[in-house]
Amino acid sequence: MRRIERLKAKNRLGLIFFPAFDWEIDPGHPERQERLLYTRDQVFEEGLLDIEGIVEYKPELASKDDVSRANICVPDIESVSTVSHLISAGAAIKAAELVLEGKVDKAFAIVRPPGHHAFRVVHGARGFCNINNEAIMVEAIRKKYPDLKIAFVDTDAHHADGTQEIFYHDPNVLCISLHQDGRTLYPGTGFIHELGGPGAFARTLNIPLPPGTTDEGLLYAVKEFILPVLEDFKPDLVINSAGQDNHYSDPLTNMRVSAQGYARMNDLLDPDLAILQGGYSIETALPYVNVGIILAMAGLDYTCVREPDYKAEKLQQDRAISLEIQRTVEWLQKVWEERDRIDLEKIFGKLDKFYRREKDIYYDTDGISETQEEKVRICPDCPGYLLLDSTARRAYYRQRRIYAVTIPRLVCDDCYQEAWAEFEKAHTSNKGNYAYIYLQDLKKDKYISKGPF
Amino acid sequence: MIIGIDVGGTHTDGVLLGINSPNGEGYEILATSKVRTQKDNLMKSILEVLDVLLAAAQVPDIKRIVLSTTLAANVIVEENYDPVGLVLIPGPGLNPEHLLIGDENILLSGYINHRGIEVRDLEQEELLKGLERIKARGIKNLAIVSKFSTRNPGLEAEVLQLIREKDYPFENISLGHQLSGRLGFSRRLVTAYFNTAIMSVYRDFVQAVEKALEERELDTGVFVLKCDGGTVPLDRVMEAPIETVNSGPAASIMGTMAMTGVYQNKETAIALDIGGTTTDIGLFIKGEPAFMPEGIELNGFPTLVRGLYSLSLPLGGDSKIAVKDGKLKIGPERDGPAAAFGGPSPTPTDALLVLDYIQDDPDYEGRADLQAAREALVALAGDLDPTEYGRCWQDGKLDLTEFASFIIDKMLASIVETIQEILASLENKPVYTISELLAGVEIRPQLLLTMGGPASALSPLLAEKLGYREEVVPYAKVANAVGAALARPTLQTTVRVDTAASYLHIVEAGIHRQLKAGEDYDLEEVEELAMAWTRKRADDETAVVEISERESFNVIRGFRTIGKIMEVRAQIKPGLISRPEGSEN
Repeated sequence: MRRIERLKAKNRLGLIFFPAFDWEIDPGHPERQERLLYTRDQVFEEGLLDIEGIVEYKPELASKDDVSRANICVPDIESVSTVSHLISAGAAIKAAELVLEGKVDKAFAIVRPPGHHAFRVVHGARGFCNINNEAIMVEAIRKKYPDLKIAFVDTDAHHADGTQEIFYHDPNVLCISLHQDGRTLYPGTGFIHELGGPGAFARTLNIPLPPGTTDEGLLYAVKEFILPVLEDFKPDLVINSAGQDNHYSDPLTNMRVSAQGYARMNDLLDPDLAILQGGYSIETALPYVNVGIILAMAGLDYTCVREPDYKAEKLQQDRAISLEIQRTVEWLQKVWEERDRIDLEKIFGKLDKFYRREKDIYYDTDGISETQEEKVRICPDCPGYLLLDSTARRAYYRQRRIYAVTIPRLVCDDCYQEAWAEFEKAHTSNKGNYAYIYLQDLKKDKYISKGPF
Repeated sequence: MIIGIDVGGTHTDGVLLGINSPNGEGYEILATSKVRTQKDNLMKSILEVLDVLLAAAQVPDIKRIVLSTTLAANVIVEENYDPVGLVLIPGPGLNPEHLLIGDENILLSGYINHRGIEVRDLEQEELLKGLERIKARGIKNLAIVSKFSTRNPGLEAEVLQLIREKDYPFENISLGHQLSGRLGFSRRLVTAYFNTAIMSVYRDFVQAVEKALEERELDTGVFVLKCDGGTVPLDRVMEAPIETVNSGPAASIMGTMAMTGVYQNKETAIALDIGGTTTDIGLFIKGEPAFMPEGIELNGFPTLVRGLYSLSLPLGGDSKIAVKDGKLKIGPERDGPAAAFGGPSPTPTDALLVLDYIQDDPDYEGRADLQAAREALVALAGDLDPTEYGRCWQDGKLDLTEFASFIIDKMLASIVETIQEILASLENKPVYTISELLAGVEIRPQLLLTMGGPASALSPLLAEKLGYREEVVPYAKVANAVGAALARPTLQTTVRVDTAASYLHIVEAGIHRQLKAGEDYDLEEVEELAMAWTRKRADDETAVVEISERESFNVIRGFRTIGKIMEVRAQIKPGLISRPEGSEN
């Protein structure tokens, strides 16, 4: 009679698993009720929740303030999101709290719907995202710990454009996104020269990968570029946005990553937190990739995780792809190395009071076109505040124009006064005929909306 | 008349019940019997008790006999079984090396996926080699388990088929998919392993019972109590004997149900059985006994065996009280009876005697040596850290009453804390739909039901701390046997219909087949099927069946819905055969 050993995780892992079986965008849509059904079955059959040290938690609902810290919802939160979004964001916050409070060593939120395509200003749903659950999580963390340095490594096949935009001018949040090249896939962005604003240069790093990239290419980028960058940046928290659509069987993308590749990548990144983003091969990828990631995060052996239809011969990387990835990585390595020595004005032009960006944002899920002008205050002492002028048009709809002032937590007093003055001026005079005017004051944790005008 | 016999660790109790009205309402206790359990000869204890009861009745009047025994548990805990060979078909996933718990283990290639599709077949050569290895070791017991066998038992069945074809001399074989319709490969494996392990001993027991009853010309239905508070006919218990493991706590909970109004009044209540060594905590939610989520634990390992919720706290009336590093420690060991009854160390029973709480209890009256109790407690006090236990001393002298109170308070605090933890963990159990998350779960007991030696003394004190009403379960000494006697048969059927893959599974009935041309189902029809099959398998067309779980999901290919996956679990809930049940039965 052999003693039955109860398997014990090396890292205490908190799992928030919320498949939201009674919610969907619509029944035929990839974001439908059964997206995580087979994953649940696989996780249960593998007995992962019985492993000592792996503990499941219930999510909570994100509050209005939680959402407002990251997103400005037009006209308000209720109009652009549902309970499912609040739960998805709340689960991410809970996962972070579990780690910060030391209840667990690591946490993984396997939740839907995703959030990384939601920009700061939200007129509707894009890329299946309404509010940015991971940005909400980070701002909830920083309410308690304002000086924390955080690194996102988004390994979803799509460029994490929303998360990038929200933290574009934030030097404390390093946003790294690995994704299928934007020339070949939604959202069509995430190129190597997108490196962050003048106050946060090289705090945004994009690694576009050619279609057909395999485990080999992915892990090469991780080992040769991402790990050394993390070593230099020394984040207090590493967050893996673990989208799973790089998988060879994903219906929406053209990548060739396997469950082993995902598990190994997570192992190398050693993240404190992981959160599901995209990934729609719900039968042939998600069950196995999630088992792999859970085991990797728990510090357990994941080498036996394999899809039933996995064939190594079919997943060999083209030499041309390897070369292209090498070139991309080399270019990025150079930028990272020289980041503190670069002449910012060569990149951003003459920097006086404000730096201005024009954005064209398309909301595929809701059919909305947005143009936005963003001005960030250039300040030697702090990251500065943001002024956003946004106009959204639906196909059948008159346009709606809004104005917003965003004050990050770590602004200096002068910028803080200036930003407030700007907001007061805007909503008392409303020269631009905005429908709504918003203030996002992260310093005092106050969120105000004026209108409709 | 009905007979219930509960074989406990220390005592075997029997009770003879007469149903005292024509429509089956109510019962009365006609005779009771109690003997010391002979661990290595449970049959003898059962027959001793049975014969006492039969003396008070006519044999033809006995309509039903129910046995609750520790047989299965004893075999497992004492590792008193012959070697078991394990055939594992895990496929990829979690590394299975920690699951090689058999005395001989065969890891086979082959894999069923979560849709029940056979992705890879077995390799005959590999299988034969493995079986030869097991045979060569002289192993007669086998457990065969594959992942997702509840969705496709094909690979497990293939192994069995080969064994029969080649005439292998294996006597006891368990197939994972026959033991539960639930998911959980390691749980299924452990369940199958233990099921096989206990088969020989169990078979001997069943034969001995049949023989004994024959000798007494008892031609009545005989049942065995299961861990889920239900019963299974003796002639069917060998299908899954593991279901009868740990039926003791179930008997206690069913006994509480029988002896109090908790079911009729649909109360949410905590049931406590305060024994000598442990206190068992059970739960009623709106009158129904609660279940262990997923399955019970055996030897610290989770299984798929369905069981009533029961948590055993190592704290009882005879727990050894000691002082370690100046701090008071109660239990977990029991060294013997209370000092007042000649035991070697002081126990909570001694404290209760000193406090005059149990002087009226016939059990203790006259036999307790109060002086011994006092002396044992005083002897302890010397080692206590005076800063923490200051209230026990008055002017430098030990205040024995205060000290005894302290001990009882500490014991009660442990019980209260455990109860609160149980409720919190049940309320925080993860849910997977938005509606359930928003609804939340609130389990607010209003009532405390206590049985056991010190019950009448401790019940009011506990109830006060918890803010519940309290009731002491009457006739607690035979409550277990009464619970067993009146427990009705329970059954669970899992029906899974995958119209996209065109497959139908009635798992516990062993039916796995393709849908016929034109055969289609919606969720309601699957529920009907599950209920019909539950009644059929229980051999009782009038049984009250409820749907305990249901889910339905679309299967999409491209952007079209090509089918539905529906899974339903129907059950006959544990309950009593002889009680007014309001609108049911």
